[in-house]
Amino acid sequence: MKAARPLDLRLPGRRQISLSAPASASSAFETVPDPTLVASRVNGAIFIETPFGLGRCSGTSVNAPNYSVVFTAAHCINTGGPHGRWMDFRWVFVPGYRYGQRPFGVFPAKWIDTTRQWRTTGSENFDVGAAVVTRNQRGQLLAKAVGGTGIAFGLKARQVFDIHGYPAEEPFDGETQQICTQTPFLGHDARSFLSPGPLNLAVDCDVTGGASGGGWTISGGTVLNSVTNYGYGDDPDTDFGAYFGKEVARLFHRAAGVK
Amino acid sequence: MRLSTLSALIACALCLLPSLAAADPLDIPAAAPPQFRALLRAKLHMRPPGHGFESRFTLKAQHGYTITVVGEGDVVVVEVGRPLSHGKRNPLEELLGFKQSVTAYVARGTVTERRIAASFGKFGKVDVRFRPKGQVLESGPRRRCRGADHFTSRLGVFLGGVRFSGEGGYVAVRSHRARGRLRSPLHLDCSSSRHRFSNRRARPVHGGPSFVPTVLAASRRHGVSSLELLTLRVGKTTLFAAINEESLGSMARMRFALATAPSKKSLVYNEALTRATITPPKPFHGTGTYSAASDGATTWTGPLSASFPGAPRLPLTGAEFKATLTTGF
Repeated sequence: MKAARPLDLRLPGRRQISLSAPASASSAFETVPDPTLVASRVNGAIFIETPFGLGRCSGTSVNAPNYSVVFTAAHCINTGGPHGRWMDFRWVFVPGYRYGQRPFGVFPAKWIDTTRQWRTTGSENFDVGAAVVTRNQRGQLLAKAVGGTGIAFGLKARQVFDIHGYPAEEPFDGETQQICTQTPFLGHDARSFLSPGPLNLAVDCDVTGGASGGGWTISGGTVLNSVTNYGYGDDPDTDFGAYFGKEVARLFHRAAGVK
Repeated sequence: MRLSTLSALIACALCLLPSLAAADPLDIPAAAPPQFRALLRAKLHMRPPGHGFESRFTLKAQHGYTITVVGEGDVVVVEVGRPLSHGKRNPLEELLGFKQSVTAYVARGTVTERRIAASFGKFGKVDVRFRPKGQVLESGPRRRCRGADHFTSRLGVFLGGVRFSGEGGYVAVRSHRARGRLRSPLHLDCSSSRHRFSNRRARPVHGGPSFVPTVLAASRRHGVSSLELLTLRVGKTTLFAAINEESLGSMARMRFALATAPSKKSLVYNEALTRATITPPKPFHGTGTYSAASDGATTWTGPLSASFPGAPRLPLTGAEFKATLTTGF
């Protein structure tokens, strides 16, 4: 798995999330010392076997009646737009991943979906996806093995977030879980105004490729309220995520209803 | 210069802009005039965003400015610019609605066939209703279209209230009535190509010299604000484009400036690509100098600026800019 590359750098048409210089300390990711602790193990790395090689993203286990829902970025599920391609290859979620280790096992996806608008328009304002995973080799359901966050929709944009993920581009290597703690909402991307749908969110956090899909949590890390979508190469300190509105709620209910 | 060449230039420019390079196709500014967007979409092989309509009307303001209100989808744009006189018009200016530079204020709002409404915070508010009056115009049919092959424009008047005042009062307008139109569909999906190749048959490829333009790009971005300059030299002509974007709470402000000039004097660079100087024409001012050291460090300095409505002489150089210079071999 160490050979995996950030998926977001492999997909044509994606903005690259890459760093050309170390980020300022104010927005720096910090390594989570022990990703197997209760608060951190709901976050994990996603590995996808594509014809182009092994890609990777980040994701979060979310509480649902089927105990098996993972939230991530839509572009880790489908390339987006009317001609989008599904990532219906081998797609696995590894909670608490560190240095190639799988402390809670591997949870392969059996169902993937994105917001409807992502599939029809590819709009960045709807870049949210979900997967329903099967049991790990020990026969455990995901949320029973590692727990899950709550999920909230329709909240005001002005929140203070903890940003989680497995950035794999320099200066990171994707082998450790990273967190930007208590990062306040900065504003909306100006370009977000040009596409239909809820305006996306910006926070101060130096994400790189591989962090896509990483959870943005509020309320002390207990409630998922966005996921990392993209950044700009000429401003590595700013991370953009989708607003969780009605369409994301519909996605959650679809995923939660999968048996 | 023919419009097709210019639009290709712009399309190349957008492809090469650092942050736009890998941007989602929907990132073409909706604030830009429809013809600008349509050209770019066509050149970048983008799928039109579907059926719909566009409502628009224009008001005259002081200092020669016009204010155009455009409603499309759930986006309302107030676009401020100063039209060029007819004698100075060229195809490039047509891409920005016959303006050298525009400032667009973008907000989410209500856009229906009967109404345009949006709040622009401290800048003002638009709330008008469309009353069809007069002719229904149909454009000439286009060929090789999927779906509609022509535009239908319904003329009429917008009644209600428009109150808008730019930063520092550089432009202000208050109106209760304006003539405008509602046009549908939003875009035509027509092919401009005379030849369609079949994918079922192999076809010969004729090799030739590579076409690699010289590009000098400089940008700065912090949080939800960015300023980008692109200089694109293709043959004897150089295109200069500046885009300034800023998110202002519940709305965004976008500024665009475009110009072309003969390459010989407006973009000068050495063979080693360690130094370049640009001197673009209006609405740009001054010169910008690019320098690259042997360790790869670059600087982008000089008194270069661009004038946008409401932002005269916005500096386009400085230590916070990241600059690159590339060309073919």
